[in-house]
Parts: sequence; structure tokens; C-alpha cells
Amino acid sequence: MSYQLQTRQNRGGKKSIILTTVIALLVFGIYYVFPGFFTQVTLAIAKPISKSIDAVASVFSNSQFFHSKADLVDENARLHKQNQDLEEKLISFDLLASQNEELRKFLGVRSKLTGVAVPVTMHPSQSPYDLLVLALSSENTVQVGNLVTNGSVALGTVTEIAGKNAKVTLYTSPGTLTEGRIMKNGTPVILKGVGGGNFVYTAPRELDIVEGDLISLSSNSDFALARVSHIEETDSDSFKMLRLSNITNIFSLTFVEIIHGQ
Amino acid sequence: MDSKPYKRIGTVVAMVVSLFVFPWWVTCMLGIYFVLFFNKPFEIFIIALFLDGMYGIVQPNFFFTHIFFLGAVVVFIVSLWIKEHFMFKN
Repeated sequence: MSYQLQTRQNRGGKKSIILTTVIALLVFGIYYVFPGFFTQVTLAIAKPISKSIDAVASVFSNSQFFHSKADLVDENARLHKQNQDLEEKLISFDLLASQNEELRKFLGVRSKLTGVAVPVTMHPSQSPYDLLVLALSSENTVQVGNLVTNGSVALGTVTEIAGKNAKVTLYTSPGTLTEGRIMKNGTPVILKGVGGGNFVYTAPRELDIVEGDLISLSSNSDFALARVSHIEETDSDSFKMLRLSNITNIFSLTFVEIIHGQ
Repeated sequence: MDSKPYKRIGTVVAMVVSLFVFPWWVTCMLGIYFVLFFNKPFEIFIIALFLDGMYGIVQPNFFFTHIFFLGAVVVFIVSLWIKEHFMFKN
């Protein structure tokens, strides 16, 4: 057994440091000449691999081998009930939507926003920031700054387009500040993203807000932004800490909408 | 120090798979293991660039955009010092 305190080893270490410095300078240089190069190359390579992994995962998750018959019967009954409930809600939603449309026409408020559905290739659970990677098709005319939603829930904005991929920074990304309004009374708030699909907001103690209240996007009140999930306050504090969460589960998104002309 | 090529290839493959399947910190832990227990682990820079390219958010500065790459450089250099002073090989 020989210990590593040897001159040859030191020389090897110096060589490694020199090589690492050269690699770092090379990466630095490429970034300054072609800023989007690494993103474009990595996403081009990652996209087919990610799709293959998703396909394999879906084969396993759909396999009968992992489901017992009783589980399937239970699930079928639960889905049947859920379907009925959703159909009932959809009827009332259609009524409300038509009333809303009439009211908007009457007030002269523009209501039609056009959007395209885009598949999600990578989710926040894999990334340190709350970030989505979307696969664009050739027909998509997406620009940096476009709003990204899931139904009537605002998720974030397009921050980078690399070839046929787009990166979306979610409003819940750590440090991101987003202006919103409390839906029930219109009070403006600024939510701070803390990652994991969550926000925080420090509010004055007198603010009229309770758990379950919804916050809409300030720039477009058609879209909901977050729901108050927990309020922390003590008798001696003059402020209370609101913890809010995204209304949709950002970890299981398969499709999102990119909104044009907001 | 592991010098067997199949172990090296296996670890690199595990890191590549973890890029797509597991959360980012799993890849980081595998990366640290790889840097500490293999000789000249330059493959870590490619993995780090992949992490930055796939999951990095746009920032006006190189140093914020390439956090994983810079982290890999730091861990690599620290690992040289650790290997020299604290680790021994057969």
C-alpha cells in the first residue's frame, strides 16, 4: 500500500488544474460569442432522450402487472363519480362563461386571448429552479415574455427560446416577484416565489384575507395566480406571513398554453 | 481510487440517466462521488453543462447562468486537494 503524498501525484494535480482552467475559459469564451449555444445543444440532445424515458415510464405505469383487479374497480367507480361531478360543474361553467362574455361585450372589454397548447418536456421536480422546458413546433410563434398558463391559471413567462425549445420561468421560481390582486376585494399584493410551486407574502395584520382565498394576476385578472394555503401570525406581530401555493400541480404538467397578445 | 473502466462508465451512465429521471440534487451527489473516487473525472464538466443548459434560467451574467459548471470546477479543484491530503490508494 503506497500513500499519495508523492511528487508525481502533485504534477498530475497541476496538470488537472491547468486543463480545468482551459476548459473553463473555453466555456466562458463560447458563452460570450454564442450565448445560447449550450442551451440549444443540450436541449436538442436532451429532448429525444427525455421523450424516450417518458414513453418507457408510461408503458410501466400502464402495465396491468402493477394493478390489482380490485384497485381497478375502485378507481373506475371513483372516476365515474368524478366524471359526473365535472359534467355538472361544466354546465354551470358554460352558463357563467356566456354571461361573462355578454358582460364583457356590454362593457367593451377585450376578452379573447389566443393561445397555443404546447407539450412540457421537463418539469420543476428535476430542476433546481421552478422551470418548465417546452417543445415547440414549427407553427408556434412564441416570443420571450409570452404568458404561459394552464387553463385559467397563470404559471409564468417564456424567458428563453433555444431552437425548438422554450424555457418558462414560473412565477414561483425563487426570488421572482409577481404583482397580483386578492380576488375578493382587489387589494394589490406582491408575491415572492420561493420554489416548489410556492409563494410567500408579508401582509399587514389588518389585511382581510383568509386561507383558501384566491389571488389573480395583476396584469390580467382573467388568470388566477395562487391560493392562500397557510397564514402565520402571532398576537404581538404587526405583520402576518402568508404562504401561498400554485393552484395547479406544477410537477405533473403535460401540456400548457402559451398566450399571445396579452 | 477506482480505475476499473466499467465502474467509470457505469457511474457516468447513472449520472446521465439521473439528469432526466431524478431531481437535480441526485445528479449532484453522483457527481461529487464521481469526482472524489475516480481519476481525472473531466466528464463531470459535460454533465454540469447539461444541467445548466437544461435547467438553468436566463441571467444577464455568465456566473449566474452556469452555476453547475462553476460548481463542478470548484468541486474538481477541491477534490484534487482532498485526494492529495486525505485519500490513499492501493
